[in-house]
Amino acid sequence: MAIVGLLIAFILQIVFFVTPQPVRAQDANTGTPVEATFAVYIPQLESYRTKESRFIIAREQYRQVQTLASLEEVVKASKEVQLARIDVLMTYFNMLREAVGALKGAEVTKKMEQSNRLLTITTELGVLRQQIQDSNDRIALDNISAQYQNRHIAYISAAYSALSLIRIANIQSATDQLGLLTSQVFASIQESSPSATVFAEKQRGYDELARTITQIKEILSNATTRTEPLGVEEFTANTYTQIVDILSSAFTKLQLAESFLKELAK
Amino acid sequence: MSDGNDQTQFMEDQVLWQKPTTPEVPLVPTEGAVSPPKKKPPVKLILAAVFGGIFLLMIIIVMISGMGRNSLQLVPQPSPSPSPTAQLTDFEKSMVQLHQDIVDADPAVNDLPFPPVNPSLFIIQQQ
Repeated sequence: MAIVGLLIAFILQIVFFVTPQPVRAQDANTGTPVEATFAVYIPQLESYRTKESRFIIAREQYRQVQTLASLEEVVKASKEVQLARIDVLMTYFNMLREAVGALKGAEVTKKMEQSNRLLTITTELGVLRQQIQDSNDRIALDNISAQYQNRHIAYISAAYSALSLIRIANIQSATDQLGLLTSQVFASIQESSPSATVFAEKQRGYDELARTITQIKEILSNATTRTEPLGVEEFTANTYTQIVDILSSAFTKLQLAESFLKELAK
Repeated sequence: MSDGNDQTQFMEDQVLWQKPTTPEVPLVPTEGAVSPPKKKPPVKLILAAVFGGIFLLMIIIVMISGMGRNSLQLVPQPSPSPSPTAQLTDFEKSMVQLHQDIVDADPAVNDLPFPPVNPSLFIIQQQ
């Protein structure tokens, strides 16, 4: 039996040494603040969807059976789903605020204006959250839901307004970078003292590129003007779509200008 | 039909139709009858079985560990080669950055749409 014991010990040693060591996961890439917040946002949205389904089922059950027990269930489900909705929105608006704060191609005043607006909404949602937390009956919870419903359009408006600023600023930033590199390339061409024929050809290319950049700036100005006269609740998803349509032509020209620049730099 | 003279009848039919003729075996052993002594399995056989089991276990362990090694090799290893931007000039780096900025500026891509939340979560339907 001693031999058997020794053999078991030997096998256990083999198991410990031969079994592959678990691969240590690399440290998670923290990324930008927006990416970090997005990682929180997705599970919150999933949780909200689950709670919304649960609430709808509880509400149907209450409407059918009309008992105090089912009322208790639906009140509990309402509280949970409303809290989840507020959490999703607070995280979303924080994420937007971080995205606006990180913009390179936007005016500081516009960034501040958007950032303050988003912060105000987040604070407002925080107050609403506390009210939900303190409510435990059907009437109070339905009143808070009505308060939220009255503000829903304003929240959408703020979100699309911020998103428009982000879209415009991104194209603005790329255009500024393009203009800077174009100037550098042309200066480099002038310094290299090319033949008259080559220089004339490069000059024509530079002029075409400069014209394209001017056109992009005009389109950007047009898109910015489209956003300005809109009030707090007038900025809808449709307005955002219109601005995206305007910016699409600027984006196409931007891609064209990039290829021009590559040719010019050869 | 079932008389014994029918030559076309099968043997099995005969067994089925006839009563068994074998005498009944008494269930209780008679007094004085000695049951045959039970043979104990030899110690060598037990040891052989134990060693055989251990040997099989070792083979299984070696196979599993081999599979583990193979699966580890499937995990993509980080490339030891330097990043493609490491050997670029400043201008080329700027061009790469510009390209990335342009890709990021695509207005058709909305990575932060408004969350799909239900604006009317009422217990009692509002009028």
